[in-house]
Amino acid sequence: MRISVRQIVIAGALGAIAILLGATRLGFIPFVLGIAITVMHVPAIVGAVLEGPLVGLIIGLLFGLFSCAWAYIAPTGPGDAYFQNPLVSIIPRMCIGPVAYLVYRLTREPRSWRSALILGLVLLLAGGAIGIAYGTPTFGDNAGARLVTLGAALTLAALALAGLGLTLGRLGEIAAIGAAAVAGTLTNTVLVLSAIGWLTSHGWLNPPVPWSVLLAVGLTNGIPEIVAAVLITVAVVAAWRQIEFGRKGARIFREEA
Amino acid sequence: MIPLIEVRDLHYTYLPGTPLETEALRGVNLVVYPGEIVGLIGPTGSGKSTLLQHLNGLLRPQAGQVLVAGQDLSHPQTDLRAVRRRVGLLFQNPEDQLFERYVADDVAYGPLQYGLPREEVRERVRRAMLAAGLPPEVYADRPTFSLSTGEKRRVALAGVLALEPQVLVLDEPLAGLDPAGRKLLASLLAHWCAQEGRAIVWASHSMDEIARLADRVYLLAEGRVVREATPRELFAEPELLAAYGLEVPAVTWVLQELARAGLRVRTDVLILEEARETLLELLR
Amino acid sequence: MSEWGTFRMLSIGQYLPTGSALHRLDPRVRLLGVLLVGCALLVRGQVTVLLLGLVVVILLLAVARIPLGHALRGLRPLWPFFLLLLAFQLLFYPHRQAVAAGSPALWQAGRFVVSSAGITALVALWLRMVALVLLLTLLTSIADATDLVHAVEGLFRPLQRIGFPAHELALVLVVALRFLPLLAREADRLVKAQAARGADFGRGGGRIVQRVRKTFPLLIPLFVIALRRAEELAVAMEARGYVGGRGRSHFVRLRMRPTDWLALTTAAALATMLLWLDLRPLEAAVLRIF
Repeated sequence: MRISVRQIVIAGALGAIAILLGATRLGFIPFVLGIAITVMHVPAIVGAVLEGPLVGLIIGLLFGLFSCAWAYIAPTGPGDAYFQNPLVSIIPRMCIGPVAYLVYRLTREPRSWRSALILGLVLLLAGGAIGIAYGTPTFGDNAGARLVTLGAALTLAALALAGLGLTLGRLGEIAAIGAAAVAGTLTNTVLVLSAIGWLTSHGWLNPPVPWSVLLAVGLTNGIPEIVAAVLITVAVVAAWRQIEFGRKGARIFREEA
Repeated sequence: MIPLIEVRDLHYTYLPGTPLETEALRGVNLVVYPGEIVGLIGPTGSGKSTLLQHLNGLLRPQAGQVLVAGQDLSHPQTDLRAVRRRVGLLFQNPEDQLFERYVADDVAYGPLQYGLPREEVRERVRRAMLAAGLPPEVYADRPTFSLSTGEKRRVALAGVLALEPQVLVLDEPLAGLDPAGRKLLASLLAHWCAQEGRAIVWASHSMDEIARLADRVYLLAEGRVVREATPRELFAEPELLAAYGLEVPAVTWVLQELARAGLRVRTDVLILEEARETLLELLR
Repeated sequence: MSEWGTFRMLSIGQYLPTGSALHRLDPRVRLLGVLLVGCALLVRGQVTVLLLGLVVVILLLAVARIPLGHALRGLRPLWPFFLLLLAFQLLFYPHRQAVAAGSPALWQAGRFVVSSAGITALVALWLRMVALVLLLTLLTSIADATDLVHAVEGLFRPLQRIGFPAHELALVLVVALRFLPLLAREADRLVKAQAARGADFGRGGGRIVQRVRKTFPLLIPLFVIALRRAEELAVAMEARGYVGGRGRSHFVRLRMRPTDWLALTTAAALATMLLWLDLRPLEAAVLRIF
């Protein structure tokens, strides 16, 4: 796969932002009760939307490598023990970019029959996953894992439906960027937490974490992180590509309270 | 006359107590009176940025005093945010700091952060944009990122002017602009400063700028004020400036060379018009 | 670089060019050696072996002429995290199973037991953490960023024949490392510039949307500046004739010399020794003293 100079350099620059966000408090937005949500995954999404899946993958790789190394260098709590494992810190992060790019491309031109076909397949997949989770004994009596699958499948379905339903021309680009941000963040949250859950349930990682806890963390952190990622990604891409959207004109001069 | 800003024996060290310790300011004294443009020149590493950041309270003095309109910034109780409304600081390449989608919103950011009511903010935004050469009817709804560098820089200026400061502290305000842009911005700034109770601190590497615009100049080197003089006095000492790696304005240099070659010309020249005069004199 | 600085320097990251024998080794050997010893330390759990490993790392620091005091000072900011981690380990260790399996119980408070095996595991964990941190300090002290990038690229170069873009990835790393201090400075400047306009990033807002909006004055310009600089760099590189990684010659040629091979084998030997040594009889003898 050929990679251009421009892509190499942009991957490096955005990767540097991801590392900077992780190493300083810039990447952490304080939320309620002392929890902070992170936006370190946003550069990978931005890179994927602007320059393609390869760039997104490389940025994700840099993010993951840094995350893994930082867990060794400056552990801030027992949670870091999980991130010392590359299956938790590196592999999931490499998927952020490609997934974001895929969603971006698919939701950009929803009227093309090819993307409609793919989105339809995604819906089928989501339905199948739910069916397997609840209909067959694959997960045994692991209710938590079932819930996680249900959540992931429903979100996939929602994204696919949103993609299929997009008809507004001008909003299409922005909505596609937003959808990519949602997908990218979900990938990060779902894959990282699933990795932790899977590894600890098989005893390869300690201390063990029950699936219900992972689900709770996923919801309380994941949803605000999705909101943050969408806001930031759209703002950055719109600024860089000089895309205008929403209501035209400065807010300050609009006649509202 | 009561000074707007007074700096007394200011000391500041970065990262004290670590192996990377650097003493940036070693006892700096400086005054800014209303109505003047004070120039600040010095080689890189002289402590210019550090000094500038003390003037609006971004840095607190470690020793010495910084008085802004009578308020001492080294006092732990001083409200630094209030100080920043009196002293507006514009960093180098301020156009990099724009982030709002539309120009008027970016200009409004400062006043809104200080909690001013919307109607007043709108008024301030209009006034600031006019003072910065950006007529609101044309520019208010323009997308920020589609402007030229010169226009963006003026948006940044407007953003600071909207806080209606008494003193503007500028770090290389004209760097990176084309000659037309420089001329425009310089005249806008001079015009702003001409009004009652205002002053400008102008840090620059361009001696031509300083010669043309500054009323007084401070030469800073190695954390200390080496010389304080008017531009005419200062540029009459090219050897002093050369000792710190600085030059005199181009015009001044030409005439100093001519004088050295034996021609009878004035050497205390700062701008092109004065040079022309003295050369014409010579030719008569 | 001031109280507003956004980048804190740890002594772990500081390159110390003392000119020792270790510094003069091929960068690939420096990296590989450290990785081998590090992996060995990661895998083992016996207290005595880890103690031996720690001694090995300290010896390596001595050979590299890194003052021990300096390296240990790098540990100081990590103490609170170490303690937290150890406390967590103590609480979550399966003490009761250990006691049931024959390990003597050392302390009991109600239903909570502390077994001797638990304490041993704790000591082992602490030794491992200290040894790994010192090892990392060693690596960053004997190899700076450029060395490490050369090392990584050099190690991956054989893979280039099967299409693995080692050169391109190494270049991404170099660019990222060059952009880091640059972007940190820009971020610093942005914080100050927006603060000069009255921005207040600290205070918590209300709903999530507002809180995210508060970060816009920092994040958006940062991304835009980075993208712009990246574009400029790409254009500059192309203007200088950069066309890609295939068939590129290198200014710095990495060649393994006999000293390098010797060092590599020594490191491998040390790692193997640490991996296979079974000092349980020694351990039992020491424990019997308590």
